[in-house]
Amino acid sequence: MAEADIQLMAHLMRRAGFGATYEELERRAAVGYEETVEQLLHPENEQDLTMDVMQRYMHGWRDMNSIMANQAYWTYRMVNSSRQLEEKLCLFWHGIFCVGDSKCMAANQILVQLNNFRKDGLGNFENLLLGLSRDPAMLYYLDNQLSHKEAVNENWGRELLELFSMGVGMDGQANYSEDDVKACAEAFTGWTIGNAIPRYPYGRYDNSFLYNQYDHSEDNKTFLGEQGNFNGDDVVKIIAKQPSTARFISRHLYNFFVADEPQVPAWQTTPPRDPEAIELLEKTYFESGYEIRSMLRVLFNSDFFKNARFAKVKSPTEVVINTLRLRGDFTIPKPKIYDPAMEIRYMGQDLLNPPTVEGWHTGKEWIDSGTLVERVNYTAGEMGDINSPGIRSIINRVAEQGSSISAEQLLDGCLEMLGGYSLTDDTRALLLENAGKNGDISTGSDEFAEQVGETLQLIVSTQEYQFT
Amino acid sequence: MTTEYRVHGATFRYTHTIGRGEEAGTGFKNPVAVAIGANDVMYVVSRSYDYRADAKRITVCTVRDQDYIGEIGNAGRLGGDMMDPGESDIDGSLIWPTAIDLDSEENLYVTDEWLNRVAVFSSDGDWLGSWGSNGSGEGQFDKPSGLAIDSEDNIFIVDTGNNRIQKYSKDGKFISQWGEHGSGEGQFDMPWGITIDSHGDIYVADWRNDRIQKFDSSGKFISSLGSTGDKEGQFNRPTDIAVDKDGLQYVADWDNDRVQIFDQHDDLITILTGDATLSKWAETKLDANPDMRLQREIAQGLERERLFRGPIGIEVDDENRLFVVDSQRNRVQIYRKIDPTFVGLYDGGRL
Amino acid sequence: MTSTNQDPVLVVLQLSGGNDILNTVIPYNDPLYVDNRPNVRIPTDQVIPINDDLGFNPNMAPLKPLWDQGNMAIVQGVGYPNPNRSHFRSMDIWHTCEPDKIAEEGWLGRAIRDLDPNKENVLTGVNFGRGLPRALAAPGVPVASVGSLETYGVLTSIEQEEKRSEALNIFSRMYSPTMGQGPVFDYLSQNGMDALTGADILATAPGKYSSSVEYGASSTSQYMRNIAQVHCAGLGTRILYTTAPYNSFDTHATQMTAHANLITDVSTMVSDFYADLKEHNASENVLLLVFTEFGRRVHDNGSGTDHGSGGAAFLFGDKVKGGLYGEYPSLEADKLLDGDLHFNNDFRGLYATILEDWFGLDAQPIVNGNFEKMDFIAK
Repeated sequence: MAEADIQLMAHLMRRAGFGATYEELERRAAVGYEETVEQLLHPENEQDLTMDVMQRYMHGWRDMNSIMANQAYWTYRMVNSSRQLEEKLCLFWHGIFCVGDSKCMAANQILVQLNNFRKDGLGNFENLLLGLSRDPAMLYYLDNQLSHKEAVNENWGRELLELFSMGVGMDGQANYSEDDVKACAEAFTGWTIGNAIPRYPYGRYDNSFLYNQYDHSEDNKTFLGEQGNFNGDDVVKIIAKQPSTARFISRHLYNFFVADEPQVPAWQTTPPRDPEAIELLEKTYFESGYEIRSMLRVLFNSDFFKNARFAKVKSPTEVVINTLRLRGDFTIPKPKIYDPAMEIRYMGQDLLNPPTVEGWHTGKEWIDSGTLVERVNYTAGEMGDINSPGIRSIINRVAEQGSSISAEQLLDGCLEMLGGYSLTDDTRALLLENAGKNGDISTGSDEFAEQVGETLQLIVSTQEYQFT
Repeated sequence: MTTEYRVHGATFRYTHTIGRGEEAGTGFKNPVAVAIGANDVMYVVSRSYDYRADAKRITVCTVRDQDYIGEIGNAGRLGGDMMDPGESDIDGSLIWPTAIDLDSEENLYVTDEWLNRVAVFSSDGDWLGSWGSNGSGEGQFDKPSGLAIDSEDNIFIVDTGNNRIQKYSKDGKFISQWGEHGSGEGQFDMPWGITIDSHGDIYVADWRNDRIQKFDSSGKFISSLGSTGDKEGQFNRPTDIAVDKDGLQYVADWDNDRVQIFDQHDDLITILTGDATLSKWAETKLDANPDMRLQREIAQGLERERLFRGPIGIEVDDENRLFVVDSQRNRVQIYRKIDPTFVGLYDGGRL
Repeated sequence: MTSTNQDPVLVVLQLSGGNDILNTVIPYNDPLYVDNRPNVRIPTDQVIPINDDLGFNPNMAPLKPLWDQGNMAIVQGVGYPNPNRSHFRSMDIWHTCEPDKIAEEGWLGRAIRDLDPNKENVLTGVNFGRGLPRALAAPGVPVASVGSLETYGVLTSIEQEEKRSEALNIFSRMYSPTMGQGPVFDYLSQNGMDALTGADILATAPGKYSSSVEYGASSTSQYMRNIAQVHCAGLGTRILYTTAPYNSFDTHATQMTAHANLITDVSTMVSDFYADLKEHNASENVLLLVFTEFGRRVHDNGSGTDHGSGGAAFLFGDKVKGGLYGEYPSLEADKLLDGDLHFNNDFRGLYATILEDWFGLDAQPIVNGNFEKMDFIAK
């Protein structure tokens, strides 16, 4: 297998999924790049995870009534699901269509939303927004059950435009006016949720969307230049056809899958990092009838994607899930199954509980001195565990280079196994010096496994490894 | 025209519910098993979550009056780190408690699927010791789940990961074993619950084979009941079985959210889907939270509250009372069997 | 005697889960207290009276001397309008001073930014416990989160000491600023070096400290000891924070035993902490704030109490003017809010007092508005 093919596959799997073991990369590279992209774009063809055994041992997983159960379940899915893009895209939409458990206090209801992202996340964007507008967790998070025709609450109506579809502006211009926000909010009056069964004494039950026609404003509305007695669905249809929506979604896809862009509030004035790429994605948005799958097909097969290796800072979720996928032992039920979600939180990403409706700031803002320590300590601890099956297989593969190998072979072997990382000259020199400190490296020796473990620990501690 | 009804085994009358969701005291957290002792005392095992190790416990209360008596095995409730998943195997520690039964002296035997041991407590909660270790040899376990004690205090333990049943004396000496992995007669796929009838025959919930297998006391296969599905008489991951003194069989059909009741000939009598009402402890909770009482009055779909959600443990006592551990709803629903001979008696037979 | 910097220092002890104020500062002569608490009540003869109406929970005996000396203030009826009974949301509100919308910046994160605008000290704010409470979070404000002071640092997951020091050496050389790798790389370098610096400085604290005070064994007591160690080491840390374990004050059931243990633990650790500072002559510039996200229901639920509102906060320190602030909320049925004590004291006024009268900062932009200050700090 050509090394370049595997490295490209490693890049694809880090972005379209959560990274892969070297064995998986070889398997996929043999299938071919474009074919793998197609496989990723069609998760419905892959067997979904069977959950009966997990639910048998993790008793809170049947109904996901707590945020921690739901977080642990998600980490389990991200690590083990063969539908890697489905989970990655679920994370993508969760970071845009934010709801937080600190307000909703109903992890089961957030699970309903995430399952909709899994089901519809690759499909038609208009359809996704229509679903979101009926999502009980979202309606509650943005107070739409408090929006009445006589007393409109604009929270949902505003965020739908500002954060979920069009963005405040582009090319230095505003995308909508305050009157549009009002009209949008008015169109969604009466979109509410059922009165919930209180959590005491027997726990929560899923709630449902309710359309209350008596509380819906039937006034004539002017929205983005169009006039009519609009209801919520009409508004979503108008939103979906806006060039600003195409731009906004394209930039989000680019920021998440290709390369770090400035934070979202800057998008009104800061042009895209790669205008041609965005233009191509916008064009695909319209040509495909707003289909995310088509946009991602174009994206993954483009040169701008293939050339964007290590152009992004890993999110905490990517750090932890990738580590667990490489270790290969986060597969069975155990009491400590809840820990990785906590690690992700310590690194600054409390899943199901984004800091605000704007979601997490990404890119370099993932890092501060505290979260960097969490990353480095976590990955070094996990990747140095030479007894885990995944690390064992890395050790075996590195050993296949010969009975005696050079420091370069040890270091490059490890870098290759982790998915083709490259180091700056200075860092490389330091790691080589360390790898060669005891002279020749005998792959048959008792210390060899330790030497590989140590090399892996140093690699994951580098600045270079913080990128994806 | 008259319709002819056939008297069919028995009828079941819902009596009441015990419990509410609570990490300590008057309630349960993801309860998994129940045992009934003397003097109307009930023991309920809460599995809880692994990040609330303090809530793993055995709650002791009475059935009729729903009086809270206390709790057992609640290792280190305070002072310790609540976030610690507590994988330690110190005395009294429960990590994955799964099943419970009582011996003739009313000592409590509790299997622990994580610690691979059987923990023994007195009915007062004193730690009496434990036995078992991880492995596939005699006296070893790979996730021991169901546990049943016969009239001579022999203890039968379902060794899930090893797909076998092991028989022990009450002090933990290995006596015999049977079973292997598979789907044929006498073979298992991750078996779970177990019970012994008045003749000494043994019933095992063969969880991943979606059936109940019946054996004689020596482990010889007698019969099998059920197949995969959600139709009548079919199971979706049955977790537990109880058999009453008349030979009626009660199956916790976990993933179908129901209890199926069969007669001694394996004919289906009826299906229960849950009838829960507010327990005494639930009423107290609502008294303290008046706004929730109001919220209940206007809540949509409150009737869902009656239904079983993941019925997981099942027990029947000498008074023909049926106890269904309703795992996801943190409660036990209780029914009483009405014998068929009651039909035609008293005013019930009047036109 | 350790000499310490005399800049004002704030220590925060967060009681997570919602402390039951009715059984902490007890209206022991109020018949409504008896009526509402058939099962979860402190008997009158056990209460430690502080006046004719109110008394301490018996397990607060260690705090009585501080009260008598006038070094303890109790802010009664503290809360905010439209109380939220979710732990997480209510704690968020206390952390961000933003009851109406979900906000990102914490009040102490902002305070740290104002106290050390040029980021001269990476240890201006230190949290003890894993994960950063939102109170301390603000973009661009580094705050160390110390899970264990004894073992805090970079690459602690490498267990073998020799290997770890080799790895640390390489780490420090890797993260030394180099030219030409781009702004994100430089940013990572800076943070790596900050982490090393912070860890190196913190590592000196335990060695500089010895004390005759023995703290309790609970993790929070040990964190209070760590706070004393760091404060006494004179590292210029201005805000130190720790949290009682995950929602432990959430006493829905078996409250009588659970709450007694918790109150004993907290009272002892506060008393130990104060004694420790005294022993090191380091108490004068320290203010200790103890708070919880809400109080609990007035009526008990049989064996515990459920989420309520209207709690109380406590302040300790040499410069604290001891006594009661605000009013104890009424237990009369028509004065309750959905079965809860009604707040009458906005917590943002409490914060504003600390920010302005203790730190000398401008409170308005930190607490998002103007709130009535209290008079618990001696001028």
